[in-house]
Amino acid sequence: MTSAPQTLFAKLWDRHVVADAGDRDLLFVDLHLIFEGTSKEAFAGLDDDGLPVRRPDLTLGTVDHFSPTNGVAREQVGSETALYLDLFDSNCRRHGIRYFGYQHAQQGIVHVMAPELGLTLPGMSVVCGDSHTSTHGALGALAFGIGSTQVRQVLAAQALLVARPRAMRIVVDGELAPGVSSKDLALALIGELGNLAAVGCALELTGTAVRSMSVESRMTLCNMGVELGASMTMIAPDETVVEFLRDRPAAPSGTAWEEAVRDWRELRSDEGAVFDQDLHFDARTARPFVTWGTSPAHAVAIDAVVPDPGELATREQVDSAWKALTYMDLEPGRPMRSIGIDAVFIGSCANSRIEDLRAAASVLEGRHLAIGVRGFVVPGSAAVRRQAEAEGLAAVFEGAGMEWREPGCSFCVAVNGDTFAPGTRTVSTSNRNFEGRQGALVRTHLASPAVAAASGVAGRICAPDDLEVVA
Amino acid sequence: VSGTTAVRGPAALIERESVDTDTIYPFEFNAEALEHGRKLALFGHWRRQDPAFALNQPGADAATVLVAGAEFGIGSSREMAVWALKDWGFGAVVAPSFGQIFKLNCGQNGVVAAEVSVTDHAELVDELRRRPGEEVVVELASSTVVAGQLHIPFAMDEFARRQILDGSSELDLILERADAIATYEETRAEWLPSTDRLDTWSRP
Repeated sequence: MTSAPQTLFAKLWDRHVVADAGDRDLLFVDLHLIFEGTSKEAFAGLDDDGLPVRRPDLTLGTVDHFSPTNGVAREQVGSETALYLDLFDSNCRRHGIRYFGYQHAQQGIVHVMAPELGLTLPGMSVVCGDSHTSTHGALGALAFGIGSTQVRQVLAAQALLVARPRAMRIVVDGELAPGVSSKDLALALIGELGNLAAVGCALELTGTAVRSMSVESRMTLCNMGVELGASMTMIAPDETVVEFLRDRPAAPSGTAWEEAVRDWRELRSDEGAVFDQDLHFDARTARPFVTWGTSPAHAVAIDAVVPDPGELATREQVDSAWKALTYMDLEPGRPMRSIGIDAVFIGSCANSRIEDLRAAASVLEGRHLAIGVRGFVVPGSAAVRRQAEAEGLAAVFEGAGMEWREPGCSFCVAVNGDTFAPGTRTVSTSNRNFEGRQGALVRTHLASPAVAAASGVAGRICAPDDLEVVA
Repeated sequence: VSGTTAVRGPAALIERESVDTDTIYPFEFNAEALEHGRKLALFGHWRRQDPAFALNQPGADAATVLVAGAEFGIGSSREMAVWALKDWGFGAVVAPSFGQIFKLNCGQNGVVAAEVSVTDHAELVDELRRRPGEEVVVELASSTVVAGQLHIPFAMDEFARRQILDGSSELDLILERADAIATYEETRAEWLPSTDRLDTWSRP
C-alpha cells in the first residue's frame, strides 16, 4: 500500500506535532533563536510565572537589532541600547543560554549567524521573535516568526500552539537572466502578487530558477516570503544545501551526518502532492526591480516609471498610493532611473551574506560613490565581515567611499542609532520600505546589492549595466 | 478568569491600506514608551506629523474600536504594536484583512482582530465618516459589528475568540501537555543539533 503524496510542508509539519489541540497543533521547537529586541518582555513574563527555560540547549542568543555597528566601546553605547544589551546578557546568564554578545567573534544578525554555523538544518523547526525567521526555510526547515508572548511560551515549554496553514506553491520556471538576482525575483513576485498573497499559507518555492540558486540566494528569497504574507516559506533541501552544510561547526558529523543526509533526501514534495494554491511564475520575465512607494508590494522593474494611482481599483487603494507618493515625493510617470538619491545601505538579513557583498563589490571595483552620496556596508555577521576582509571586498568598499561597519541590523530597522536624516532618499538592500523605517521621513527604495551599488555610483537609481565601463 | 464578551465604545477611523507595525509602533519612541507607557509611541510619527490624523481628533482618547484599511498590521512581528493599541484603550480592530503575526499577537493580548468583507468595510467607513467617533459594538458571541443601523458579520480566529471569551491562558494550555512534550523529546533524531555540542563556545 502506498500512502498519499505529501507536500514538503506536510512532512515538515507532521514530524513536529506533539499533540493535537483541536484547531491548533502543539508543535515542538528544535531551535529557538533569541535576540535582545523581542526577548526582553518574554523573560520578564517568564520571571512573573516563576518558570525556568525548558531547553537552554536548544536556545541560542545573539545581539543584532540594537547592536551598534560603529565599533563604539561597550561602555560608551547609548542608554537605550545599553538597557537592551545588559538585560539580554543577564537573562541569558541566569538561564544558562549560550549567546553571542556585543563584539563577540560569532555575533551577527540572527538569520545570518545560525545558518552559517550549521545550526539550522533541513527538517528542523526554527522559531524566533522576528518576522524574517522565514529566511531559515531556505535550508528546508519549518521556520516562522513569532511575537514576544510566544517567545515566552517557547522559553517555558519548547513548544507552541499553531494553526496548520494551507499549502501554497510558487513554481518559478526558467532561468533568471544574468544580472538578475533572487532579490529582484522576490520584489517582482511581491510587486505582482501583493503584501498578503500568501497569508495563512506555508509557501514552498521551487522550479528551475530556485533549484539552481545558491543557498545564500535562497535565503534572500525566503526572507522576503514574509513580505508576501506567508506564515512560513520553504525550499526543498538538495545537494546544494548538503554541500553548504558539510563541515559547518554545529552540523552533525560522522554517522550522524550520514543519517541526517539520508533523512533530508525525503524532504521534498511528492509527485502528485496537492497544494491549496499552486502558481507559476516565469523567471525570464524578471528584471532588476526597485520599489517606488512605502510597502514592498510597491515594486516595479527598474526601466519602468512610477505608476499612476488612478489605475487602482478602490478608493482606499488610490488614496493610500497617493499618500505613499506624497511621502516619497514622487509623481506618476517619472522614470525610476531619473530619481536622484542621497545614500546607499548594503546589509540586513535580506542581503548581507558574503555572496551579496561580492555582488556589490564587483560593481564598485574601480568606482566611487557619486559626490554627495553616502554609503554604508554592514555585514550580516562577524564571520561574513572577516571573510569579506580576507577576500579584499572591504578594501573595495572603502576605496569606493563606503563606510565598512560592524555586523548588525543597522539601517534596516534603525533602532541602534544608525538612522538617516529626515528627507534622505536611500537605495537599500533591506526588506522593508515602510514610512520611517530608516528614520523619520526617510524615503527608502528597496533593491538588490548590485542595483544599490550601481545607484550609489551614479547618484540616481540605476542598474550596473547603466554605468560607464571602468577603464 | 472571566473573559470579555464585547468591545464597546467610540470608534477611530484610519482610512489607509497596508498600515505596517513599524508605523503603528515606531521604535524611535520606544525609550520614551518604556518609561511612560506604550501609548506614547502609538502611531508616533503620524500623530506628530499630521494634525488631521484620526488619533489627533477630539474624543480619540476615549476610542476603543479601531476601524482600519485592508492589510492592517503587516510587517514586523513586534508585539509592541498590539501593546500600544491596548494601552491607548483599543479592545478591537476592524479591517478587511490583517498581517498574520499581528493577528496572532492580538489574540495573545485579548484584542479582537475582526475581519469584515470589503463591501461591509466600505459601509462601515461611510457610517463613521457621517458620524465621527460614533459608538461601535464588537460582539464576540454573535461575531457582529454594530454601528448605528449597521449590523456587519465578522470573522476571527476561533481559538483567539475562545481565549478572549473565557479569559484562559495559552501558556497554561501548553503546559498542561508537558508530559506529551517530554514523550516527544525522547523520540527526537540523534543528529539534531544542540548548542551543547559546540564545546568551543564558552557558556556565559
